[in-house]
Amino acid sequence: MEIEDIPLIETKDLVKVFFRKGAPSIKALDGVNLKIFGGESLAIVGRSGSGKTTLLNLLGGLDRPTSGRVIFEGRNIDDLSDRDLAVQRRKKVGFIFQTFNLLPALTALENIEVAFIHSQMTTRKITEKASTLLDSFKLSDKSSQLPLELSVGQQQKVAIARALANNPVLILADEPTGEMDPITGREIMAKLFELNERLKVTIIIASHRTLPHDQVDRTLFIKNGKIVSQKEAGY
Amino acid sequence: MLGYVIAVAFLIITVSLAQGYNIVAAGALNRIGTHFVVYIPASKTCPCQFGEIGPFFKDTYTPTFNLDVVETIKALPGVADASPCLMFRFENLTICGVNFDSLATEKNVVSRDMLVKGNYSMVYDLGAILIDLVFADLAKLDVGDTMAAFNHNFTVVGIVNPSLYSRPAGIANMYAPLNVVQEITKFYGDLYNFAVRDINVVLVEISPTGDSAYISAVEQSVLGTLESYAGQSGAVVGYQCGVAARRVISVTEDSAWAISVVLIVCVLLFALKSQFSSVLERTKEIGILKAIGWTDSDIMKQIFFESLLQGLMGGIVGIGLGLIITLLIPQLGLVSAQNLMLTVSPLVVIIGLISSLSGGIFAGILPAWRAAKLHPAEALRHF
Repeated sequence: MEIEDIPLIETKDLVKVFFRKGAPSIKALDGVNLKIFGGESLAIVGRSGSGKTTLLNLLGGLDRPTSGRVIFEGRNIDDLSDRDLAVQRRKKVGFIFQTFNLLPALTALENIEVAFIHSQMTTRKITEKASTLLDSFKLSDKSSQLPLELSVGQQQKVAIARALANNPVLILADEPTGEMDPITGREIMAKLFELNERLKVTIIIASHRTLPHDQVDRTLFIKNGKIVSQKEAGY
Repeated sequence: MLGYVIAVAFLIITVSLAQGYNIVAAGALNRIGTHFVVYIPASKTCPCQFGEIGPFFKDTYTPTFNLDVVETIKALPGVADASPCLMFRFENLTICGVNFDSLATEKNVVSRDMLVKGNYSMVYDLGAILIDLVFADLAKLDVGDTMAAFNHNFTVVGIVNPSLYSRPAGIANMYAPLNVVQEITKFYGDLYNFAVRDINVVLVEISPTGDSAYISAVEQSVLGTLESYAGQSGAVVGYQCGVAARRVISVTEDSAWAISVVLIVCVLLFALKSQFSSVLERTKEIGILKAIGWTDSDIMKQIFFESLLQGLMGGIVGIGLGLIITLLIPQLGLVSAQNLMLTVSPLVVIIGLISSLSGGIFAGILPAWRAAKLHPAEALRHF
């Protein structure tokens, strides 16, 4: 895999503390320093509560750090307004969640269309592009079905199709196979790695299980909000 | 949205019903009208030599005056009709002379509607009289009977029961044409040596529109005219039931509006709560939309326009429902009032639509703002 020299994302002394009323605050991330390059595939492995999801949220601009910096394509995301951060998420980042997070009242096709809604495209063009994406996952025949009428694997494929809608440079997948049986899980992972290969999109997968070492370029192990070790492919 | 539908439909139905009843009531009240009588109260210069004989009105013997004043009063602004009346009493018997075909007579003294038995039109015949129902009972008189009174022989052609609103002129025992009573009065005046002129009461019916101040102004101008003719101050016995009742009836419509406004306010508050609940229920959905790049303003617009659309749709459906029910009410016999014609005023429709739209706006702003301010990562954690 070709990896660019300049990092796509860099974190410096990243700290995230959750303050709770009437309860002790929780330090979810404690000084994380990372460099993630364009086209890289990365696994962040750790137990529940180790800080994986928090790290993904910060990398994707869903949240802001308590201290430290997240530099995305050379820009500190803390310098961005909420609106600019939303636009960055729309144009640069695709999220894949363990529970798919599809909109239950919308059909499979509409769930993808909703990601295009702020583009300048016509409604017809949006439908065309959404249909193409759905077709790439061999789900054309499911386009008018609601999420609850789809299998978990199909739901996650729709979610991946939605994440790809705006040609993101980064895909963040939080436990993407957590709800699935092993066979479906492997199918989904294969799809993600295929996207990484084919589209050169950076993929970061958070998981509580170590992924096969030949599937990702790097695996970072996180514990108590700190990166405790990392392993590169082939080692 | 159901709340808007119910509120707007309720507004249209209640206000239209109230307006419909108002029209029916106004029709009846216009028949009562606003009317009064003017006369000159008894003075020391009583025209009667003997206490028991003479022109009589409201339990007292009163002066008489020339008939000419009636035409002048009739021409005054605000006066719909004026008619002469001469009421004469001898011992315990009272006879009232009027022009039976006058509107002012019908409103103030006696009308065809008050006929209980017999014939009303025959009173024009010489010697034909109408008698009061109570008097007929006491005197054991019936239609077709003859009676001797006031040095005349009369034939009873009809029995009347004067209604409440004809009482300002007082209830007479007998009702006869004016010229008959004038002849009787003059006969007794000559006999007992007291001078009488044409009439002692003017019956006045004023235009049905106008408030109390308007009625007072007309009364004053009528009194002024009487004084200028008779040289003595007059008095008014008024019966403004029409205006008073119309004022009471208008309360019905005001109440319908007030109840509707209260209902709309309740619906607005309910809609506000519903929108807040909806935002709460949709927290995760909002988080998803934010994750895929919707900005705060996109979310705000979405929630706001949903609320606005609910208000608009609720208003339109409510107007439709209200119109259908309003038009069906009389046909289904759901109301007791006869001749109730329900029409929906465009104003009510416009107010209904504006209310529901305002509700949509009002109920949308705060929840939309709250939704926009949701933190995406926290919203995604919401179940």
